[in-house]
Amino acid sequence: MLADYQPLETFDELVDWPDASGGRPARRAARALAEHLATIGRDELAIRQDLAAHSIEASGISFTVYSEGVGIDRAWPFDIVPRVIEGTEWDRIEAGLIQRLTALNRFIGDIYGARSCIADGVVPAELIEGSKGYRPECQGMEPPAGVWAHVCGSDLVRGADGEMYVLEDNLRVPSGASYLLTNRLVTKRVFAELFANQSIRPVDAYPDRLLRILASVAPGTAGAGAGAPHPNVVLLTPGIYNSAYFEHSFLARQMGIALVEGRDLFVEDDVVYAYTIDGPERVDVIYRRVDDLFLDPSVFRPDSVLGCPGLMAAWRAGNVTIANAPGTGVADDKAVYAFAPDLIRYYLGQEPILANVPTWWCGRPDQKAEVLARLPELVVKPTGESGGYGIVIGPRATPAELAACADAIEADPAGWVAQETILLSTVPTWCDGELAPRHVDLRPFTLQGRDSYVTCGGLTRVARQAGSLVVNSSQGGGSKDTWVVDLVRPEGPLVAGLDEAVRAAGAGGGDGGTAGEGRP
Amino acid sequence: MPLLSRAAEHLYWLGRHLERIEATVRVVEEHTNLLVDLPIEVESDWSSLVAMVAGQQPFADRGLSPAEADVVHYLLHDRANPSSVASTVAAARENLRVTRQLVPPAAWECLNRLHLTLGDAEGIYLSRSQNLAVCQAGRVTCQQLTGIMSLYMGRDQGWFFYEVGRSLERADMTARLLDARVGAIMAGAGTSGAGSPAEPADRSPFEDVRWLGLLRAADGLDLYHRCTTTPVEAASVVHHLLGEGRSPRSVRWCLAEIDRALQALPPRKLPTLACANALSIVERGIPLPLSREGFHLHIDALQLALEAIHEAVNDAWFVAGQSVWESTREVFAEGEPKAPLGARQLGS
Repeated sequence: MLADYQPLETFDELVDWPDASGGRPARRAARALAEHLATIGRDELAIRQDLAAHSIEASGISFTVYSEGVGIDRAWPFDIVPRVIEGTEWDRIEAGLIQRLTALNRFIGDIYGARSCIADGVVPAELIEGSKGYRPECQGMEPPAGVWAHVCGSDLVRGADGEMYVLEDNLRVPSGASYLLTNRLVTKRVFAELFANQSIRPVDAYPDRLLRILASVAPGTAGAGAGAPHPNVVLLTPGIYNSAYFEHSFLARQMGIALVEGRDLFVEDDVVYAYTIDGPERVDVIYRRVDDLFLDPSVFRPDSVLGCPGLMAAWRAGNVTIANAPGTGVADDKAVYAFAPDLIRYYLGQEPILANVPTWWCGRPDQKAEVLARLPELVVKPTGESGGYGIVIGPRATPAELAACADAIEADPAGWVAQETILLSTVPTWCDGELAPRHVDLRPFTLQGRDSYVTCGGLTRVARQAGSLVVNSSQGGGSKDTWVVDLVRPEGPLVAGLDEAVRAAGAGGGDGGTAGEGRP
Repeated sequence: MPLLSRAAEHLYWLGRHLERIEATVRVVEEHTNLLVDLPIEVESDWSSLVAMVAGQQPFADRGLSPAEADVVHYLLHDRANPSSVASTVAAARENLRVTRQLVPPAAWECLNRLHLTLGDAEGIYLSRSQNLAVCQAGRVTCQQLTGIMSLYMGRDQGWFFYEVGRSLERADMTARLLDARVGAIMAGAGTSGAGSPAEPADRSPFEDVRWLGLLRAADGLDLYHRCTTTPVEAASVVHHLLGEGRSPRSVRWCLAEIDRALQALPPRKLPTLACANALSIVERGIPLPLSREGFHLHIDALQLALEAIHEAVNDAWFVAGQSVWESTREVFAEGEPKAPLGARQLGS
């Protein structure tokens, strides 16, 4: 199958750059997959793609899209061909993600605390005050273990240079982890044979790790081992009309915790309770999937019915842990993003393991001048928005659009950042009866409590139109299973002949957790 | 952590809706079968089905005709009818969606399949045999779900709410079935005027067929033959469906199940009392010889007692602390559509 595959002139996750004969051989971590695809052939692949679609529909793996005010439950879009990442590369990404989230958590605590990063000139003060995610109500808070963002969904992209860049840190209510898990379940059904002869890292520990991390930051756990032995952890959902409701329900089941809505909760004397058939039950940790501004109508939006009055006061009193904490949005602001490498150096004294996409913040005059000069080459984004709103892609914009964009930057320089255009890598994707290259990104999830954890791989999102860079499922994007494949283990080679090559590349023994210095 | 009140309410309604789907398809199946057995000149009374399952007024308001095509479509497929099988499946699916994390995953897959099947028939009038196939799919799905739930769901609080809902709905549907059919059969038996006993001498040629149909509609025919030695006649059929302690289809059995489930839940006085009251009505039995009037008084009392169980359960567990959060709920109901819990009230 891959023999007929016509990759683009960019990095492809499954096939390597052209060899001496001009062919593009499978990358070594993808060789078993490539061989299997060759064995089963086109017709069988089509059958399995259908099987996957049916299995998703039958299990009700869905997401909700809104059209003309009506929510429609759509089957989750899934492409059968997985994306493959070599284990040693993943170890480095994992270390990079933990490093980054650690620094961002330190930064959030600093902003709502002493603000030493501003005093030391690392970030300008106006960056904070102008941020849409900044919540003055959080000033002075010190959440358990100093952790504000317990769950981070990063968007990673790989450029033509093969480098994996962090494109966004989603620190508010990132979603997608359930699809990462269900994609694997579906792949196991349709490609069962492939799991037998290679070492693909399992992904299903996520809910258990999430629950442990959440429990670790329950109120009263300040001293090691102190606090309630079995804290009541609940997942707060906006309800069945939310586009991620499937995920809320899925994670609550996997963690064995109650799935609550705002109307199930009430606050008395700064303590949060849930209405149960046994009467009020105290709640210790709320894994909330409701945006900040809807959390507490007595503090934020008074018309919100998704939250619970008094929640913020209970949180401030230290009687409940909210994960992610209110106010974490201050750190996933696009202007703050530009400073993330500096924050890692400042708080941790380390060089960033993962690179930022080169970014300029127009709030600095020299950077603004550079952006305006190079506008047709860059991607310009408003700082306070998420989900792709307000983005201008220089190479694709008309002169009029570029002029309007320049005016907008002049009017409010601090409200804009610009980034180098990254041509996303591709993965072979089943399109109309053949495998064609489609652009992908990757969303791993990083957890932080008294301990850190990163999902093995992440959710690979794929643009379904040729040439498109839009991977959002709400805008027609699809998804893929992501395999972190180990080629060697300390006890010996898993694939004959490969251990020599891997060792020669300096990847080491693959003892999970250490970031390999020399990447393959 | 104990079960959330809202989750308990949804599980209770899940049980009710599932039982209701099964009961409705069985009644439609049985009525279609009965029609085949009756000669053409005997007018088939489709409107009694509407009265029993959904209430006649909304049906008449829609300008539908009380003939087979409209009635069966209304009962099986009509989304505008909140009691139709399609609507009830959608409501059960919403109950399950909200409690999906509490029930075996296979239950969702099973019900979702039925929902998708019914979606294929939306807005189309199907042939009689196609409708029978839909009924069979509905019945089989409910049977599978019963198996999945009973074999894989933990016996925690959620299970017992599901059990209460399921048993209460079965008792209620049996009472409705008897209410709709017994009077009609006895009236058709040739005795003039209400209140006079049905004498064996007055039996119409089709009365046997109709009693058998009633037993089938309640899925109780085989058990009737095994439990009862008398021929099929009014008093013994009524006793079998109401008071036969060996039949899991009888009202007595359902009430015993409810009582057992209530004992597993956090103790509340009123639901237990309401259940005991309904049971005492069933145990008292209908005064013999059976008359239409005596029967109606009895079945009315029973239906009221069943409704009282629903209200007691509702007050005891689902609206705990409502005084504190009522206002929140009202705002919510206005601001956004609330998940349907099943608008239907017990009784008429």
